[in-house]
Parts: sequence; structure tokens; C-alpha cells
Amino acid sequence: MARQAIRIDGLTKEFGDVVALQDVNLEVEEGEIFGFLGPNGAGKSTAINVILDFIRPTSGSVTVLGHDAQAESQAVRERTGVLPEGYDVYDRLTGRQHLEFAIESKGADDDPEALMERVGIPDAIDRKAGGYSKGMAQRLVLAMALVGDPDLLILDEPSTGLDPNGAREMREIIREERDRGATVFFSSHILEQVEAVCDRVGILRSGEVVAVDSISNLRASVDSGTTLTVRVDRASDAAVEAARGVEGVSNARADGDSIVVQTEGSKTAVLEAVESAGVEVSDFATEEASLEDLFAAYTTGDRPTRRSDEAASEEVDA
Amino acid sequence: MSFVTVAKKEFQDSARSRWLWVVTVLFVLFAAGVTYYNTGITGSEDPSTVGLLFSMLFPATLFIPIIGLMVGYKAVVGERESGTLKLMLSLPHKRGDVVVGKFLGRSLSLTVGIVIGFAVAILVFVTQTTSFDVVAYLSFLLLSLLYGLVFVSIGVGISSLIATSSRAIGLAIFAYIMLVFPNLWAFIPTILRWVTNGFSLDLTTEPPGWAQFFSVLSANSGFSSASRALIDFESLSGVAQETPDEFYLQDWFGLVVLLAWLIIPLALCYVRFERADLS
Repeated sequence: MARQAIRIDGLTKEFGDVVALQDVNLEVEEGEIFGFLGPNGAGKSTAINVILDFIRPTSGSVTVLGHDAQAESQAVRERTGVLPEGYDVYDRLTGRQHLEFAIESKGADDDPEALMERVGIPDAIDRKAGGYSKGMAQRLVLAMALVGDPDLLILDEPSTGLDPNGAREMREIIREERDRGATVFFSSHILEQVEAVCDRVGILRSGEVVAVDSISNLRASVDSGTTLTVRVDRASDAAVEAARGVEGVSNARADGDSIVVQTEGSKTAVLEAVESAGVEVSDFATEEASLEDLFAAYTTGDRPTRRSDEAASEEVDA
Repeated sequence: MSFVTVAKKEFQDSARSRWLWVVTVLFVLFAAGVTYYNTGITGSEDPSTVGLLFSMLFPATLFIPIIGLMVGYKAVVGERESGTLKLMLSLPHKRGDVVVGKFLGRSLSLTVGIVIGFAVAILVFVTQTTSFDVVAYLSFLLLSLLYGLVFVSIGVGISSLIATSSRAIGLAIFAYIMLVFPNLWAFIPTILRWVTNGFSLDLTTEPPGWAQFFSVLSANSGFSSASRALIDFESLSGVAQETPDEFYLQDWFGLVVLLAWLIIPLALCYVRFERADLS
């Protein structure tokens, strides 16, 4: 088993009454590109801020590259390149001065011009960063993160402010860094950006990790739709057949006094079909709905509405 | 040395800001202005260096802290508000390196301002006098510098303690009033005596030792005492003061007071900053 670049154990962070992270466990393996996915406000930046020791956990621990993230933060940051969230550049310093600051801070010997070339803004190197656009500032800070060939890159919403072309270049750099041997941990609230480049993703929702898996497995689970378990007075063959006949249903089977239905379509239609087959529905539940909800909400921007869906009742801040 | 890198960046940054030049111009106006005013107004044929310094003493106690606090109060909180602090702490700097580096970088700005200001004042002075006491003048310059750094230190401390710059300004003004403004600090033991004496106090009685001790602990008082220790102001009046028995009433103790103000507030604020959540 590969070693872990980041290991988060039982991490909880409370700000007053607000629980920002709730018992988060996560392992990022060395050499992989790990996408940290979740809507805005889910706690991604809070987790990254704990990893970088900007904030202190209420309970739990974080280990980065074998070092305790709190006690040995400086050692962590010596081997980590960071593109933080909510940063600003030094308006009065040039791009070159920013890079020289990072190079000196890390005791590295990189060439500032080569770094600026790599992130695609070589001509801006001697201009004051205060005059940079948001996208240029993002590229400059990425260049600072690349200083010293770090073993771990932590990129918080790296595509912010970048046009599609810039986002593509960002992904290329992320892949290059992985191929060099670095671990890349980056957060996003946009699934497409994550799936284009990530080996694995973790999904955070309302401060809790709801899924950690490879993209292909997540895709498979999304494609299979929702598992709808309908509790009935008797799971008759006619009712199962009726459920199978509903549009969007890929599978339906009887399980004791329940009918288990895989569907990408309307759950209401399934319930109506089952009832029209002469059985009485006493209850129903959806499984993996939160994951699907998340994808639905953040890949299509459209939230499916459900009658009895625990996940939907926990509204997500967009 | 991580804090050297931070200090260097800090000075680079302030050298490109108007701040450094504003501070320098203010010191030139202050030192040269006070010199010109005093040598002109006294109308003496040949003003003495010590006499000039004596006349600068009181304005300096009021003016230098303003500049020191101005230079310091936004050092950390400004970066915290804008988000550049995240950029800095993403690099392998300890928070202590940030506080110390900020203090050193900003101190350098203040030093440049004070040195240039006093140098211009010398030019003004030597046009008015035939004797120039280099040792006394340099002593006063160094002491003013120490006094200024005390307030840079307090300012940087405040800036690391407080999460918004508007509240940092408030605390800086409070610090100024308590430590400089003549002389609210000395009022604290008087109030304590009044309270502990059942809300009455005979002000004609000699204050107890602890009250006297407390009174000399203000930065302002430290500066005045230390200046008497370094510069022979008694030569002006020709009357020698008696040296008090209590160590804390002796002039050299002023230097101890200044060094304490230089280090202790910043250290305490750093301890708080070290534990703070920065988000």
C-alpha cells in the first residue's frame, strides 16, 4: 500500500456554535492527484486551513508527509507548495519579487523567469502584481507554489479567475507535477474540473466526507441512479413488474416486504406504478441520494426535488 | 533565518509605498523644524547642543510614538485582512518569524526616517552654532530611535493581536494615550490608592513606594529618565540633582523601562497570535 501524503483522522472544527468539519477522515496517497470536491461552504477550505495550520482543530489530527500538521507545520510547508484560498498578492511587489521571496523562503534555487514561463505570464515578471488581473495573480501564486519542486501541492480552487484555456493549462501543470512524483491535493466545487484530472476524489458536504472513491467508481454509482427501497404490504410480482415498466428504471426486485428499484427517473412515477399494481406503500427510502444530489446540483445546476429525501432536507449553500 | 527573509520583503514593500517617505518627511520637518524654531527663538549667539536637545525632548516624547505606532499598527492585521498573510504563511515561515520579521522590516523604515530627519536637523543647527557636541547629539538620536522602536514594537504587537485594522487603530490610540499623553499612566496608582483608601485620598502625602515605582514604568517616563542618564542636562541649569536611593528613581532605570516596553508587549501579543485561527 502506498504511503500517505495526507492523513486526516477524526478531524472536527467548530467555530463557536457552527460545526465546520464533523469527524472528517481522509487519506491521500503519495503520487496521486486527489480532488477535494464539494459545494462552497462545505468545509473544503477549512480542512485545507487545518492542513496548513492556519487554523487549529477542535479535535482530531492531521499528518502531512509524515509530519504532524500542527506541531511540525514549518516542516510540512517546506515540502509543500500552496495555492491558498482568499489570498491577495503584494500590490507593490513585482512578480519577480514575489518569486524571489518564495525561493528565498524555501531555500530553493529556481529561476523566476522559467517559473513565469511555465505558468504562461513571462511578460508580466517585472510588473507590480497590483496591476495583475485575477487570473494572472492566480498564475503567479501557482508559480510560487511550484518553487522548490514540492513533494505535495495543495491547491484551493485553483481554477478561480482562470478562463477555460487557463484552467486547461492549470490541469496540464497538475498532471506534470504528478508525473514528476508530487502528490496533488486540490479542491473544487466544479465536478468537471476534478474528473478531468483526478485519480481519486473525496466529496465533502456540510462538513462531512460523504464519498471517497475513484472517478470511475463514482461515475458508475451516478450512472446507476438512485436506489429506491419501497416498503409495501406485500412485494407482489405484479408490483415489481409495474416498477420495471417505469421510464428510467434499470432494475427492480423484491426483497422481503420491500421492492428495491434502481432508477434515474422519477421516483414518484415508480411509487404510483407500484400502488396502481394493487399494493400499499407504507414507506420508502433513497440510498446514495446525497452523492447523487451533489452531482446533480453541481454538474447540472439543477436540484431534483424529492418527497422523502433526507439529503435534500440538508440544504447546501451554493 | 526565516525572519530575515520576511524583514527584507517587508522593507522592500514599504520602500515602494509612500509610507517610508511620509515618515522620513515628517521626521525632517519635526527635527529640523524644532531645531530651527529653538535656535531662532532663543536668539542666543551660540546655542549649545545640549540646550537644543533639551528643547527637543518634550516634543519628541509626543511625536515619535505617533510615528512608531503609525508604522507598526497595520503590519500584521493589514496582511490578515487583505489575504497576503496566507501567501506568506503558505511558505515555510513560523508565525514568530512573521512577527519578528515584520518588526525588523518596519523598524528599518522608522530608522531611515529618524536618521535622515536628525541629519537634516544637524545641517540646520550647524548654521546657527560654532560648537556641535557630536556625542550628545548621537546619544539623543539613538535614544529617540529606541523610543521609536518601542512604539513600532507595540504597534506590531497590536497588529498581530487584533483581527481588524479599525480596532487596531483604536487600541493604538489607547496605547498612545496611556503611555505617552502626559501622563495618564501615573494616574493609575493614584486611582488605586484612592480606591484602596476607601475612595478618599490626601494628595499631600508622599506616595508609597509601589506607586512611585509604577509611575516610572510608562514609556514616556522611561524616555525622559534615560535621556537624563545619557545627556548632561544639568549643565544647563548648573544645579546638580540629588541621586535618589531607590534604584527605580535613578536615571539609568529609564533604559530598563524602554527595553521592557520594547520586548514584553510584542512577546505577549505573539503568544496570542501563535494560537489564533487565521481564516
